[in-house]
Amino acid sequence: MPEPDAALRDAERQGSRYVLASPQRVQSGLAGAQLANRAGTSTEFMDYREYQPGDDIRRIDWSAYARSDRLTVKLYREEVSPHVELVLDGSQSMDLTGTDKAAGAWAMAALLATAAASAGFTHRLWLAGDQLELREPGRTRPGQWRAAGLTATVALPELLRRGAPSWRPRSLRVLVSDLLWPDDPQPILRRLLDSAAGLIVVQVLAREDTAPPEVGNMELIDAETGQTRELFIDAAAQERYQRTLATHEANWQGACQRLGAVMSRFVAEDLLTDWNMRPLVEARVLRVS
Amino acid sequence: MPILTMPLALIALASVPALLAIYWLRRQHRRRVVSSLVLWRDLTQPRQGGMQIQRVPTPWLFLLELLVLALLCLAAANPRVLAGPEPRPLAIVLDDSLSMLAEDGAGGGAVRDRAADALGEALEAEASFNARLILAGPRPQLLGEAVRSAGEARSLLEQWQPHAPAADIDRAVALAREMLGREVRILVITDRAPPEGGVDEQTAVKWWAFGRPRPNVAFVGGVRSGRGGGGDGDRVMVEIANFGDEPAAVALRLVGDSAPRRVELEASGRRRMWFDWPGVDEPFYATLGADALAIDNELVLVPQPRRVARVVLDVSDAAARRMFERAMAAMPHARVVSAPPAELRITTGPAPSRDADGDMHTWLLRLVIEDDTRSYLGPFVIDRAHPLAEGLALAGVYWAAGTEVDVPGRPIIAAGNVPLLTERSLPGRPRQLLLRFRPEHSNLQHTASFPVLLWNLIDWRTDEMPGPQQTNLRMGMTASLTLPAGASDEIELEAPDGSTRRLAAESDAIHLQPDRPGIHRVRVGDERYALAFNPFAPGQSDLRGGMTGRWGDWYDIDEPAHAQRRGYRELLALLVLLAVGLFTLHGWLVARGSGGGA
Repeated sequence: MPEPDAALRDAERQGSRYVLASPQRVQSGLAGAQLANRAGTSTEFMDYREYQPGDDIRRIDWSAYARSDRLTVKLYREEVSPHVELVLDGSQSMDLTGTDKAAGAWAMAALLATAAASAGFTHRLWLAGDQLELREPGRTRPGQWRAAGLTATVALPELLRRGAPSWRPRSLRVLVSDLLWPDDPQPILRRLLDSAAGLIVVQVLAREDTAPPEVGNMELIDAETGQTRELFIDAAAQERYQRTLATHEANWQGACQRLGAVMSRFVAEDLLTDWNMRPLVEARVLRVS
Repeated sequence: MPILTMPLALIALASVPALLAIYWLRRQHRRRVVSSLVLWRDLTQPRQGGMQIQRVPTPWLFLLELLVLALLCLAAANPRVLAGPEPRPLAIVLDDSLSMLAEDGAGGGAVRDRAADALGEALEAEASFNARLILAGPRPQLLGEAVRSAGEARSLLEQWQPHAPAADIDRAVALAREMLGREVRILVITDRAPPEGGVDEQTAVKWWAFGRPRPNVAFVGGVRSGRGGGGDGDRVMVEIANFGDEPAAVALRLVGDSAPRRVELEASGRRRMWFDWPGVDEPFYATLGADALAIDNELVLVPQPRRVARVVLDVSDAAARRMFERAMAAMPHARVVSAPPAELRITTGPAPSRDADGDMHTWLLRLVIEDDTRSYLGPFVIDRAHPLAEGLALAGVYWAAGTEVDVPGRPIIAAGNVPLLTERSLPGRPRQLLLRFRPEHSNLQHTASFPVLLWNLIDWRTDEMPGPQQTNLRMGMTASLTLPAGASDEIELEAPDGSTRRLAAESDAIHLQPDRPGIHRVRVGDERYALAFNPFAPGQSDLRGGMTGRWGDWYDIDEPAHAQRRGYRELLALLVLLAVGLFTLHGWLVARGSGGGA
């Protein structure tokens, strides 16, 4: 089982193969917003308007100037502030005993931070422990981070309800978590999307999370609350567990789609073995450099 | 479903290892820690599969012992269950603006004190309540945790020390609704009447005002500037306003004055006054005579330290070098040095390699004098949002440069689509500017535009040097302080009352928005910086709109019969009683000798 600190070093090495892509679709508000209506500097053309002080002068349409003797700029979909706010769920469920979940979550955060730096983005890492605290202000290379234990007893939705920290406006937000809360995803996503340019939700699960226990009597213990449930597991129970997990993820996927966020799922043990970033590449979150 | 208010008390279960060992040995199931039981909620009562296990029968005494210990541990965890109805939640919005500190002039004390007393009495009259206190400053802020008794509320109200330059009560009310739901009862405590139109009866808001209309004289502005000559002292301007309907004469005392000066003010009038202050490194203090509001009668201004950028001129072209030297000589905040360290390097040398270790300290202005040039008359396009473009006009300028269109970096000035001045900034690298310019074919250096451009550059560079960008601010403003490189872990903030706290640097700068006026001192390593905050809040100093009264009412929103909602009840006493009872039964069974396996 890899140590989280070793996983961070591997993640930085693997992350250097990727570049974080700027989101093409940008949030302009809260619920239901799909496309930014504000003009910006991405490559998706939107409209023309007269030049105003402060506009990027590279966007001036010189053909239009030659025709009309007026400075006209091409408008594009708004681009993001080149800054990434990484939020790592520090609750106890992320450090599931006997699994690589914690190492995988830290590695995912480090990999995305490395890709962000390669793309010229600045970044900060926030650890959602018992408080939402700034863990890395972005000055240290991810491979040199010190992976703290994930031992929080306060769930991330509760932390966000208490108020988000001073995240940079129009920055790209990235949440790394197992998303195993009973709460409705939409309020959580809305808080993360508040004044953000985009949101990437990366679900990191342990292999144990994706596979129910074997047949037999089982006492299940909640890693965060310590609550127990004694069950007899058979094939029907296993199937129902898989169905519940799929429904839970579908809820998150649906909420992400409605709010314009991108969601991908990873299994920690697989991530630390093959470092396959295809889901994020296909989602156009990462580009191979 | 019961909830545990002190779940950590369940750690006490560790006191029963022997019993647990027996318990677990008798069980035939495996344990597994799962990330969450959320995914198992569906399996509580299935018909097949996932059936809850029937416990293996255990001896009576063991069960009793286990039950007693479990009850005691559970009792220590202070569980609560859903109980009968409780009052609708109450949100108390407290005006946190500094006008709440105004005295009523009749010995009744400050508005804040009268309001706190009235609120305490009102809460004592409530049979039961569950209230959250919200401070209404420029941004709403929760004050402490929920309170359920007048004593708790009074204790929490001691932390209500209004100093904000404004109060956005609408936002605070909106926060209360978002947090506590549409059934929340809202009580607004302020010193002014509700907005025009009164309190909407459909909003379940009570509005209590405790203010009184009173005249007041206040400092509403203050500026301190160095003279630039060094040793001549600073020039200070203070602005005093009379927020009264009658003319006023007020005593103004400056630090070091032996006697106060008399200042005459017209009704609703303002007056600006200038002073020479010889204490270049000392704070400047001024006070006004006592009136209704004391907090705006004090003014403090600290020195604004001048930052000078050192510039290395590494320009091989003689004409270009003279051009820069002449411009630099006219700038008090730039000093040409012959060798590093420097804040800015102006060079005609080659571009640094992308992988070269960058000295973040030294910005680079690279002058490129191309051979194949054209003289451009315009149209010049200037990025007006850029710091270098402030006040820059290029009308009538001839600017000779190459014809290449594809130049790295973001254009700041371009002639048509030909970038002339670009900026490139990469994380972990110093800021780099590229200036394409051939002096002998240009007249830029003979116009005012060139020194303006360089002045802006030096200004921009000094702004990003360590230290505060502005040292005298009004309350509500955010002070930005650029940190010295590598010193971000040792930041200490000392408040005007002498209390200190450590700060975390989120980047190369820290941003402060204190909630108290006065001098706030920041220590970063060996460096010390002073920041002065003054109220300067005319809207709050003008007490003529103060009013006393009560408006609005709470009502049952949809269902009057369900005006109260269900709450939680403590189970502590019940659990303890049950444990004592079972323990007694245990003793009786032992005495009777009927235990089956103890």
